[in-house]
Amino acid sequence: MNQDTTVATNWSGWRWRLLLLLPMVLAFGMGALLWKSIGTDPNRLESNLIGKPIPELLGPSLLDQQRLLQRSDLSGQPALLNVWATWCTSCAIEHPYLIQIAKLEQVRIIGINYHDKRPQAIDWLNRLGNPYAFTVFDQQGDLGIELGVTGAPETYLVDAAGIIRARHVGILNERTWPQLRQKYQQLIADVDSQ
Amino acid sequence: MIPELGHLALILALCLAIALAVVPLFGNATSQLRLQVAAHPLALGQGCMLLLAYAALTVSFIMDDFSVVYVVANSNSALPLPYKFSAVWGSHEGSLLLWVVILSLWTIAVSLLGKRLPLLMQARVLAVMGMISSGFLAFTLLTSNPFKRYLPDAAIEGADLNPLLQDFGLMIHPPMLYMGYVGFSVAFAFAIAALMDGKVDAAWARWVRPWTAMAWGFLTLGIALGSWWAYYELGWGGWWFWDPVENASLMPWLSGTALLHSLAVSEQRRLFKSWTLLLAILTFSLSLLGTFLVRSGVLTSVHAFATDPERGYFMLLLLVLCVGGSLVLYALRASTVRSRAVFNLLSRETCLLANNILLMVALAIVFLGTLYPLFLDVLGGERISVGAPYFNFLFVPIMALLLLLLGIGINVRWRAMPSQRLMHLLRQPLLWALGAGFAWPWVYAGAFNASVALAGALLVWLLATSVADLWQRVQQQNNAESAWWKLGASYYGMLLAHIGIGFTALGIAMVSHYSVEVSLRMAPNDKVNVGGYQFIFDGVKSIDGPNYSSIQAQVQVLKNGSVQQILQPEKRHYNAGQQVMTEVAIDAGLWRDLYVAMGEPLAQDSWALRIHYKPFVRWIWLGALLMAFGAGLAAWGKRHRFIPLPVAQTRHKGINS
Amino acid sequence: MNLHCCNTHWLQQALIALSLMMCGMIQQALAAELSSDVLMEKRFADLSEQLRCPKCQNQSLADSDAIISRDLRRQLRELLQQGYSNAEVKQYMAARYGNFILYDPPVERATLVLWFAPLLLILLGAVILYRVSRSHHRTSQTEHTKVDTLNQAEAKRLANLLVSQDSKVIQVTDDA
Repeated sequence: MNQDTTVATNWSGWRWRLLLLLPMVLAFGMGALLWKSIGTDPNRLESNLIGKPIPELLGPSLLDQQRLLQRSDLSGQPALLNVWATWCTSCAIEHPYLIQIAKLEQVRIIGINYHDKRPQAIDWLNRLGNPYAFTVFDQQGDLGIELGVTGAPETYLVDAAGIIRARHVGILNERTWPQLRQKYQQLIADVDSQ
Repeated sequence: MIPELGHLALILALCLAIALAVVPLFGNATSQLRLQVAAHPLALGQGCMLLLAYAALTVSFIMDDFSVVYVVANSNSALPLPYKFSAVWGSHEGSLLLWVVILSLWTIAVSLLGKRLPLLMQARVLAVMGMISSGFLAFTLLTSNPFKRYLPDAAIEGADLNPLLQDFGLMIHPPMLYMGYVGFSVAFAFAIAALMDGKVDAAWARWVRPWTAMAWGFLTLGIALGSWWAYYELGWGGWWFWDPVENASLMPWLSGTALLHSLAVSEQRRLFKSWTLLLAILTFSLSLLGTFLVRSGVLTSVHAFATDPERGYFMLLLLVLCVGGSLVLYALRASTVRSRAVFNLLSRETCLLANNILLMVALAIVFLGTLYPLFLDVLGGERISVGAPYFNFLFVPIMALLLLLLGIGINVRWRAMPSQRLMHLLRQPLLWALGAGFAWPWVYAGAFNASVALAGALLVWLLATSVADLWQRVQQQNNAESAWWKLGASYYGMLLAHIGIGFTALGIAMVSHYSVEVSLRMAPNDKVNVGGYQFIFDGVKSIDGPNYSSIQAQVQVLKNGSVQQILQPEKRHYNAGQQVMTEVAIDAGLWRDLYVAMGEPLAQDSWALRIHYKPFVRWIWLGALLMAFGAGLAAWGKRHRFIPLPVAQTRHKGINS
Repeated sequence: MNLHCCNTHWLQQALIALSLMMCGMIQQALAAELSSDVLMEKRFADLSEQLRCPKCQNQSLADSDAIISRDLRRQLRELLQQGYSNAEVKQYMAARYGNFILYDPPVERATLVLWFAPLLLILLGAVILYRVSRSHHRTSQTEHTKVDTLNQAEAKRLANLLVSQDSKVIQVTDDA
């Protein structure tokens, strides 16, 4: 069985050594990438529609059954589109803050009532206050699909022309609003300067 | 009191682990025999301390000690007793403790069974295992202490174990999986020891093979159990989702398979030595990577543990130290390990090389698919998803190619084989395979199906080539009766393991192509035909369990008019956490499973039901059982061919191999 | 034994078997003209497995009960009824939810590595296989003269080793 020769491997010295370094280099590279990825939210999803306009037709109004709301109802003003529902507990937590910024900072907020029942939604607004300039009644979630909504609460920042500029998933509060506020004020400034 | 004792035991274990990591190596460097031999009692001591700590945690669960934070998070006084045992590893801290306990058990095993190894090697191997243990114990104590307590006010009641985890599958799946993951640390430790030593010989490969085979066997079992559990617990009839956590266990399995085969070449032919060392490092590194991915929160999965960035950083640091350190050692020392020997193009060496290459490609596919979205996101690109379409498209053909190669590899000889001879051996198996493969879909379903034909052909190919090789070897011996014995358990283990994967492949193909799934609304007395059986919905009734209340459907299963079974799927509402779980009802069989799950309640007593007919699905896990059994047999067989110490030492010192 | 005759004989058998398999494959393709309803259901089932629930922990639309999943399944069915092709459906979904919603990642610049690295690795593997086999084979041709003789020192060492052994023979079989 021992008919082997004393054969050295076919590699010249430095090539072999370089090859041996490769696993280590790859491993450290990967380690660096993994390090950077810690703490990022793997579920975070940027809106794919940033830079694209909202649909022409938004849907029926919540408060006025006959009225069909459209993109033109934005009336050339930037606005927040806030997705909410009565079954969404986080929305109830967010709601007072929306009322506050609508009143104190004159933020224009448009509501999208998502997968809800009309009487309950109207009652909710009556009881808890209505921060919305108007509310779209999106019962089947059709508008939601067009906007890339995945749940409630979510807020979209739309400019005067109806183009989506930013998306925020989750509750708007003292911590999360400032970032969005900055963008909103920039859009207002853009409109004013025209 | 008991949690404090457990905590103390954990700290002592860390001290012993650090001692184990340092003392024997110091003894090596200064040639002090006593210090090197101290590795054994240190290993034993560490193990005992860890078992004590584990026992303390278990007792806390059994006694409903709600002053312990971990117990509160994972248990409840109404939880059935068996689940209190398994709740110990129900979440991050406890499962990490289990991980470390299992590592200490493997360390003790190496210590006890490795007494015949050269002392130098014993000391080094145990020291490396001690290092790994120290790292993980430090991680546990600093970031994931299971013995944290609510003091002075203990909680009144616990939050209950996640209902998904309250069943038999969970009781054995993690321990088996960890036995596999951690078992590869033995091969890793041996590789590091060899690198320190600067030589790898046939004896080294022979020592490492049974350990690797055992670890591989356990990992195979662990993965199969996970798949089986997902099948009956998650309610969708799927058995593999290419989920990141599943992939995290598949990667060390693929690498471990390559390692097993590469070790064979290193032992028999003293070839591919540096590659084998790299594989040993890679396999354990992938185990660690898996542990990291699952617990760090960087990947989305239903299986992932609750996460914490601080833990993520610590784990990654551990990973970098361990993997990076070993690879630096590899870069520095592997060039002293040279391979010799010659072989022809048509030889077992070439086949095993091809086997390794295919397995590495498969590994790369799983690795890329799992981590690419993460890397792309970190590098500023868009968020993408990689799922079953990608993996199935790439992975399945590679595996098919591998199985084809398997049949050839079993029959081809070391060094060289005349192609005429090989063709002669393979001729009949090939014909059988093609014939059976073509016939099978016709026989089963009356129509042709390429994938099923291929899988059938591959299984028959594996069986026929195994039989051909077996026959060949028996013929070669003079004495026919003892020839069967002489082949040894290792050989039969190998055959069984290879046939096992054939069964798994066929099961996968059959269930993928011939399963029938129906989702429909059923009112009481409604009937539906699925897969040749008739299902009649008989309404629901309410049942109360120990910690849940449930609505149980009654579904009669009939074949040809006679009642075979009454299946009772449930919708359970768990009291403590208010979770709703779907309990599937399965009529299991060798040739088919009938699978019924409840969906949502609809108007007027009717329910949405999902009824599946799943042919050959059990073959997937039976194949895995065969594989694990084969591996165990192979490992056991090698033990009896162990070279006694005096000869080994002579070989080690005298012959520069 | 007339090897030549046997070789062609079994080769013939293999070719016949293969061509029968091909016939079967053609038959399968023809039989695929199922009724359009069944076909649509199949497309629905396939696509809902290939689309990811945008909100869940890594579940497909088929496997998920979230509100958004139900909405998207409903929309999927509508799109199929309106006559969208598979590619158009995926485009529709990706336009609104990004490539994240596709379990089958698109082939674009960002995913070139993902899709082509395996192919490159196979090619690399083939090259390695070829070169390693050749290097281990070629050296045997040129070096085999070295193997035959032991020099005097080595022969003496061998004799010593054999004498110092017990009569224990180490059985090392040619196994896996």
